[in-house]
Amino acid sequence: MSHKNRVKLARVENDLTQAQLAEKAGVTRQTIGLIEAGRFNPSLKLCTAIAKALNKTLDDLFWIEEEEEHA
Amino acid sequence: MLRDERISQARRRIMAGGFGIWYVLLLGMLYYRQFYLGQPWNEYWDIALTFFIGTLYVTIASFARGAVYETSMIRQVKWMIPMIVIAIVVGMYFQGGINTIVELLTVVTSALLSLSLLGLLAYYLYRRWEKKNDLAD
Repeated sequence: MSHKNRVKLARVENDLTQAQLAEKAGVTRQTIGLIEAGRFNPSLKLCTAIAKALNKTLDDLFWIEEEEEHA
Repeated sequence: MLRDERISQARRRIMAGGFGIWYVLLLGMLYYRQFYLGQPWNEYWDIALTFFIGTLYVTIASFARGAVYETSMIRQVKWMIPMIVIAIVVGMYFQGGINTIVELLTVVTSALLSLSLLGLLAYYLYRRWEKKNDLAD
């Protein structure tokens, strides 16, 4: 299973730059970039801060996807 | 195998705490030997080298893995000014004081050159990390 998110989509919908979202969530722009790219798993605390900044729920932004098994 | 997030996190914190204790103790040993016992540096070079390698690893790894807040060149230069002053004072101390203008220039140039090289390396490593992760402005 892999962790997926639609932070980038929600950020664009809210017309925010990475730097603006980072400021709202209290992290650096680089951290937001890594989360959007799926290269960093944020803590629950940061997930909720991002969700609040984007007026979304955790379910809207983060979910787990089962990977297909290849024979 | 079960991989518990809480246990992994607690272990990482314990290891970091352990490293912190060793780091402060090593620094204490260096001060004790230099200023209390008055030993010449060649009698405790092994401790100094261990301390230097640990410090260098922490510094370089922080930049290479993007674990820093201040990234602009100007901010780095600001951060380096007190380091350069400290390096000059330490250099003067180990040279047994400054007697000529040539000695002063040697110490100042060495401090400026070595810290500038370290600064450039740190800047390069951070930019490389940003580029690798598609985070460059």
